[in-house]
Order: sequence, then structure tokens, then C-alpha cells
Amino acid sequence: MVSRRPLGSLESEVLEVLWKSDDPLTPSEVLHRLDTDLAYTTVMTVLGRLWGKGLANRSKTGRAFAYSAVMSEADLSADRMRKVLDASSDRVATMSHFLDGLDSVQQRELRRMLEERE
Amino acid sequence: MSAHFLVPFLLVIVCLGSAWFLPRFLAPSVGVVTLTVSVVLATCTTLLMFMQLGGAGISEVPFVSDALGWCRALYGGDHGAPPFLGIAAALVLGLIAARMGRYVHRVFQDRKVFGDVDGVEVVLLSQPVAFAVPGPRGGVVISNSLLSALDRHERSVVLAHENAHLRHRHHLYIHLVETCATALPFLRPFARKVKYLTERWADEVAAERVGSRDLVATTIARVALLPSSEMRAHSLSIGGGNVVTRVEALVVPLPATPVRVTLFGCSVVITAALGLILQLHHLVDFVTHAGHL
Repeated sequence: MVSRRPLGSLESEVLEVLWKSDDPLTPSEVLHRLDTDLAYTTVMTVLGRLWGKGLANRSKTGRAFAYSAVMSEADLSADRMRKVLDASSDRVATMSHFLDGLDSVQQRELRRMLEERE
Repeated sequence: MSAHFLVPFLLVIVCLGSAWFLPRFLAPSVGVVTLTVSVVLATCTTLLMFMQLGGAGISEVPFVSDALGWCRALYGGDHGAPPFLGIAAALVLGLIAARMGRYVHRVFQDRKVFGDVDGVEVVLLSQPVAFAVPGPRGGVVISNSLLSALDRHERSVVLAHENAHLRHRHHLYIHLVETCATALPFLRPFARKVKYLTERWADEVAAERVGSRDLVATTIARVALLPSSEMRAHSLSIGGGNVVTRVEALVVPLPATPVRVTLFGCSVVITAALGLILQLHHLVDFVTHAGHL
């Protein structure tokens, strides 16, 4: 079966894999971890796009590139960010509307649960 | 007003009522589907009821009935809706159509605004936000302030959660029930419940992807407690829905669905569908009746 998932949502799935991994990954390793039936070239394209956006670093390992996620905020390319923000900044604010405010009781509850886990 | 306007409607409303309690015994994914189907069936049935009421009532307005060649002496009151009720039903239908149209229009506008989103987009924002943008390209928008507050594992939880929304097309369910709730405000609580359940669904998928429900629970709690977060949440965001119940649900095991609940759920949906068919049958019956005269 051919996956017809749009490249856009694939991109975040690939980034999810990169963020989870401790080491840089080659396209075939990413493909393996995605456990889908994607084409190798698709994964390569997506990794290339992430690199182009400044969300991933790459280094040559043998014949292929190995990719790792850009972790520090300073390294994330600000140009690209601003461009999207211009189009949608006030929209983001309205889209992320108030759904379910946390009152002080809920906050205390959540803090308690967090402390229990740690 | 004769009972056959109301019987299918009441049938579907009863089904809707039982569907309300089903999700607590179901995995979130099954709950979303069951509730969405019930809500859509209830909406169709109610709209059909209004149509029939409108048709029956208006056909008995003297002028219209003459135009239809309607023999009032024989069929007056046959369909049991006085003219004023018919006109009221027609007005309500018009109002509903306008509200639905407005909602759909707004959805398309939002689509246009976020049409540029292609893959992962990091935006510079002081509020910690992350939400999924469905669409032909689609992707995930994350604010830099959220990223910098989370470690590597928590970031992959956020992405896994948003990816689950995209992969399982949660926006379709939400738009469906939202459209229904816009048309018929009494369905609003159901729309809210479906929204909450899509969040739970995405949480469970994320937990499976990162291999730990615990990690997902702590990430959600941490995001919710971030300063300036104030729980600003888009419907498809990591902070959406009632955070406390979502975290609680993640620390207890998933409900195992007993067979009898599944059977009950199926029967609820089937009964609702029967109600709709009955309503449809009444409408068709009425239209052919009116047409022949």
C-alpha cells in the first residue's frame, strides 16, 4: 500500500524520530524507526527539508548523511520563524483560545501529581 | 401534531443519551467514533423532523395547498402540523443553515491563514503553544518558548501527540461534531466531549510511540503549568481538553472493553440509525403523498 500522507505531516513524524534518538541517524535508520512503508527517497527528501529549515544538522558518514535534531534554541533559524509568524501571529493567539482554564485547585492537583512522579 | 414526527426524534435522543456514558468504558478512539456517529445521526434526524414539520405545516397554508392541488377537505390535518408550526420550522431550518454555513466558512478561513504551514514550523511566541494544522500539506506549529522549556524526550511527546492528531484525522471528527453543535446547540456538550476524547486518543498514541504513558502524563502536566501558559489551548493542541483528567487517565490502566459494552454500543448506534431511517421514511412518504395530490 502506498502511503499518501502529505509531506507536511511526515516532516513532524521524522523530527519526532530525530528528537527521540541519542545519535545522528541516516535516512535508512530513520525509515526503519518510522515503521511505515515509505520510500527511502521520501525520507531523504523530508530529512533534506528539515535540514533546509534549520531544524536538523547533518554530517557525512560514509556515503550517506547522518541527521540529528537541532537542540539549542539559538541554532533554530530565526528568519524562517519570522516568516511564518508574520502570516499567523494574531491568528495563533485566537486559535489557541481559552478552552479550559486551570484554576488554582487544578494547578495544585497537577503539581502534586508531578511531585509524586519525581 | 401527530406522534410520528416525534417518535424517531425521541428514539435518537435516547440513543444519544446512552452514547454519552459509553466513552468511560471505551478506548478513546472508539469513544470518538461512537460519539461522532451518534451526534451526526441525531443531527440528521432532527433536521429531517424540522423539514417534515415545515413541509407539512406549509402545505396546509390555504394558498400553498391550493397551488399543490391539495384537497384540504380530505387531507387537512392528515400530516398533523398546523401552518404556524410549519412556518416556524422553516424559519428554524433557515437559521440552522445560516449558522452551519458560517461555521464552515470560518473553518475554510482558518485553513487559508495556516495554508503556509508546511511541516514543522517553529514560531517566535512568548506563550508555550503547539498545535496541529491539518490540510493538503499540513504540519505542526510549535512556539520557541515551548521548545526551550522541554527536554528532548518531552519534545518528542509533544510532536507524537500532534502527529497523532494529523495521522488519525482528528480534525474531521471535530469539524463534524462542531458543525452539528452549531446547528443544534443542545449538542454542544457532545462536541466538547469529542474534543476531549481526541486529546485522550492522541495522548495514548503518543504514549505508545514514546513507550511510556508516564512520560506523556508528566509532559502534559509540565506544559500546563508553564508560566504564562494559562492553559491557552487550540482544539488540537497538547494543552487542549481538561488537563487534570487527561493526566489522571494516563496514570491508570486503559479500560478493557467488556464484550457486553461493545454489544451495547453497537445496538445504540444501530437504533439511532433506525430512528434516522424511520424519519427519512416519513419524509419520503410525505413528499410522495403531497406530490401525488
